[in-house]
Amino acid sequence: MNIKRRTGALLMTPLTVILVMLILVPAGIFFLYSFYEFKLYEAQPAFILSNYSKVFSDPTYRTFASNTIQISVPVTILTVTAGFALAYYIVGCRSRKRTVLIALVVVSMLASYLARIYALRTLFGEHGIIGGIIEELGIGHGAPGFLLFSRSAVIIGQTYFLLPFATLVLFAGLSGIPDDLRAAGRDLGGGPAHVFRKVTLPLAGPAVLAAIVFVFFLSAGDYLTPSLLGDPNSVTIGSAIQEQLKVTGNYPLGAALSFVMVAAFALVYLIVRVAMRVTGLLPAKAGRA
Amino acid sequence: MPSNSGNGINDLLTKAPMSRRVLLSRTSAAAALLAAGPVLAACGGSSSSGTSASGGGSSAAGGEVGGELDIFVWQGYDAPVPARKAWEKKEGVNVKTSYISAQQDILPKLKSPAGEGIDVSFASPFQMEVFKEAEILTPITEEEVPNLKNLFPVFNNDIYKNEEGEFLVVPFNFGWNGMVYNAEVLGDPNSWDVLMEPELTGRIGLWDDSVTTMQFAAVIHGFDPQTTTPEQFEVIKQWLTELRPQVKMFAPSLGDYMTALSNGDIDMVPNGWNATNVFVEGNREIKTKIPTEGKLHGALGWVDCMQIPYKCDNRATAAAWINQLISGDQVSVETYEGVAGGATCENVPPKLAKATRDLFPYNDLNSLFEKEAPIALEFPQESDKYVTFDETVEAYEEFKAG
Repeated sequence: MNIKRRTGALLMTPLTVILVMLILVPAGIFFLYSFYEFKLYEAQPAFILSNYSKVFSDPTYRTFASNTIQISVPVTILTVTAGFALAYYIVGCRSRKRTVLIALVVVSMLASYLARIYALRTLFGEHGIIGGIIEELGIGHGAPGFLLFSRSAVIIGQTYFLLPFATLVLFAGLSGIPDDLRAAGRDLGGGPAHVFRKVTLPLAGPAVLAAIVFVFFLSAGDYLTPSLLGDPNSVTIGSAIQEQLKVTGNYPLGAALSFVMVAAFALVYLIVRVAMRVTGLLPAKAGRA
Repeated sequence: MPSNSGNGINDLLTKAPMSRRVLLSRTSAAAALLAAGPVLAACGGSSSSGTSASGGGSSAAGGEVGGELDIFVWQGYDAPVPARKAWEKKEGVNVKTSYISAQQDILPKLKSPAGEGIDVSFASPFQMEVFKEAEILTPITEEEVPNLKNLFPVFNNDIYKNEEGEFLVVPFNFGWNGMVYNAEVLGDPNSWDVLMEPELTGRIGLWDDSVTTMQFAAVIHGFDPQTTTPEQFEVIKQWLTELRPQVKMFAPSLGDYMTALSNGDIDMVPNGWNATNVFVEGNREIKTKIPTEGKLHGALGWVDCMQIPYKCDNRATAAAWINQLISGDQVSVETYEGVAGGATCENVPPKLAKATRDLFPYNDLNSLFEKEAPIALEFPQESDKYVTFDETVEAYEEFKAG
């Protein structure tokens, strides 16, 4: 047992070193930056809280946070719902069809993120493919405005980009549920909906929680899609961080915004977890995983 | 090539009051030069060099031209690969390039350990005071870069020099940010008033760059960013508030608004690059213009300048590279063509293709920079009297938040 534990520790060492060096150390440095002062394009060592107080007191950031929520919440609901349906369908397929479908989901993730954004712009642009079809059919002039450079365009785009991620996470969770349990539920007189609600959904709870968290974090932190598909009302906290880090070079304020966002993410995780627990979607034991 | 006397930038500088900050920064710049003496000597100093006027060169102070040349530049300013490779072969140089992604990347990198050994980088006039205070820049003499003598008079200007009259940066490429529009939709507007027209509601794309946008807004209102008062700033903010409903998108890059213009998703970019029409493909008639009518007028002029940072370790080759790029030789011409750039030396424009040459009024650059597209200096980092850089960034974010 002791040898097994030591071997495990030895095997984990490289990964631990990589994680510490590439994630924890840079994050720690970045956290320190959030207390620095920005002067002459430089983060100058200091210990000030004004970056954090600015984040909380400036109404601009409240607007950006509100925009972020108004984009990320619908994206999360749409993506996890659609991903669950897709994963549920794939799990129910026969082996060969299942492999093909999973391969297709994975392949859809391989295309460059930027290429996919510009593909959407070509599709949804006023004079793009959809606009062209509408004009050809004589039912309007160009594509509807909400399809591009709007908040709804960002929601559509992010749902499209994040659906494969959510599907894979949910597929992993659903495929681990033994068929016997559902069969037992049916044998005990439960209808399909009842078995789904009382057996499948709670057992898939941890995967659903993981998918929700995963999608919400990626959506809320994304600045590229809002920049390239959004309108002026789609500027998110992610865009504000990007502005501070890339344009004005204000690393301290950018770092403070980032860590406030991390804290907000942790809060969102706790709220979702408690909500799922209360509604019985996340069994207490499974939730600890 | 005709040239002009008189200088708008000089006027701008001399008319500006000598604030405590300016005084301090100039004093510190002079002190920095004294302090930087040993460093300069270590990387070649500013003594005589054998760099030839035609570009390239075989020797310069501090050593022979050759070896590795580390350049930290804007994409496209590293010259097209075939031409650069030919120059590298001829001079025995290996050019190692890293790209600047934002103006604000330059100073932190040059000051950090990552800036060690960078031989050539860039700076804009609006950043000069900050660069001087940071003691990044080293004097560049005509002995090192003989083609300095070919600069158009408008670029032989104090703004690019230290107190001793030595160049701290070498003007390389210029242009302006102004009206870029779809002429099929808007015809031929010549006033910024068009921005508020109902037909442009939700049809404007703004280049999403707080620094450029705020300078642009100040300049077209006729305000000098270095001395913009809070009252003037309120006028700018009010104008931005009125402009916001017209904005359809904030474009994160030049390429992005070019695509939107070319696809017909937007009809105008007010703070667009003057050479946009060279690069926009498709069947739209994209034009660029500096509006001259109406209450608001003009555009934001800019000059990208090369510098030899104090951490350079191959000064002779750095000087040769700079000299080459403004020489009008093959590497130089191909670089200007590649970026649709404005040449800063008098002997270069005749060698450029007509389409590139016609982008700029080479026969009247003074008027361009004095009246039509003034080069804005940066909003001050600190001031009790004038609007500061941080305040403009905040205002820009407020504008974006709506």
